[in-house]
Amino acid sequence: MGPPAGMNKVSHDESTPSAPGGSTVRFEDVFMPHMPAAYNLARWLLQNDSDAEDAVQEAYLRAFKAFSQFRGGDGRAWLLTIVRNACYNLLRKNKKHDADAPFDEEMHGVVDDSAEVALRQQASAEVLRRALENIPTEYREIIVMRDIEDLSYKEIAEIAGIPIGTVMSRLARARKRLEGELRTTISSAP
Amino acid sequence: MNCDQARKFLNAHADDELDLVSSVEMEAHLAACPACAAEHRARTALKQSLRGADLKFVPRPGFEARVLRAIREEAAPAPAPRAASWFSWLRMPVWVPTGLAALLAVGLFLAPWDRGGGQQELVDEAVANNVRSLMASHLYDVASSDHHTVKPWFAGKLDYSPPVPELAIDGFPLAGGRLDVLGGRPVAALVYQRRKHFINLFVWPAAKAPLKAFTRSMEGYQIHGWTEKEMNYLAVSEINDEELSNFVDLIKRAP
Repeated sequence: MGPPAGMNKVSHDESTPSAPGGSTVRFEDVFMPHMPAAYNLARWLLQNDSDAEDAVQEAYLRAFKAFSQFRGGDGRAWLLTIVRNACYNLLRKNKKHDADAPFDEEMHGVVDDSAEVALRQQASAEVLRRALENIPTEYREIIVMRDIEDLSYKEIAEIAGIPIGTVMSRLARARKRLEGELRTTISSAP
Repeated sequence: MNCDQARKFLNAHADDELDLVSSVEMEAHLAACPACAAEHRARTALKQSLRGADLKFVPRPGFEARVLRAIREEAAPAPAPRAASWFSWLRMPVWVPTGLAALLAVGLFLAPWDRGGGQQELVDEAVANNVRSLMASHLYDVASSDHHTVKPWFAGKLDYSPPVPELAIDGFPLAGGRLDVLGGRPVAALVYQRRKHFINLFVWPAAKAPLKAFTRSMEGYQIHGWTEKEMNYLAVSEINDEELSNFVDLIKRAP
């Protein structure tokens, strides 16, 4: 079982959207409501306002041009896939993200402590925000997609182009890493 | 469920992404194992913190308008007569329409995939269930190729008795059955095999919501839905459509 193959392909079903061509109205109706999710994901990935705005605008234009390929179904996941690609392109261009170094989940030291962590109390928003900013992009994005944007494993698999099993294992590592980061942040606070 | 399995699915459990039976097993394990239970609490606490902390970034004022302008400039080459703009006002109370009436006409068709009512959601859910059943190695709660074993297994677990046809002779042996959830209600999921592939067949009473017959392919899966003898059926599988159609015909013709 590989990653979800992409857009829904529909056959002999009369309730199927026909290729909508270049309708701006249809496009706006379907995709403008997803602007907050698109911006939030881009902002977390790129970590500054103007880069996030550029990536989101670029993604919307790309989505508009590709709208005829949209076959209905999960518009948010379809759009976020494009947003995410635009963000990674920008990261590569800005070289803020070392795209040449393969992402090594082992190397990114999963802190495997006991579960008795400082997380019993709700960590403050500021501490959480800082910790989340400090973990690697691949971990940050999956936590943002799942715990902030409430996307399902299936949607995350589609957006990130990875199998659902990888969504599950990467989330596990990402959360461990975030817990470690929170411990560091909390213990180093005055 | 042992600790190794529990640790593997701890996150999926906290995310409510496990199927019903796996999550029941997980709960049983957590009740018996303090170490895994502590891990689970840590996971849940982290999730709650993230959820409660309002970590969403909001675009600066005017950004949405900027994107809309860019899209409309992109679309601009089409000449824009002014007629029918009242309609665009109706449909877009927030965004100022800029004409493009010719394109608006396409908008009249609305979003056709909404017309099936909840059917699309059911299909999405069935596909997700199918994926989960394969992922969590929880294909069946009762593994048996004998419908005399599978059918009674559902008694007492469901308020109806799903038909469990035998199709082994036609090359679709029964592999088992499990309880699943679709549209918020427990349903029977029958698992048939085709060579090395599986077919999830969801069966539940049509009552007042019979399925309009359809076939589609989605994310690499073939899906057939129909209603027969007051039962709704959704068949989901990665086998090719010809084979699945064959399977569906056999199910329909089964006594």
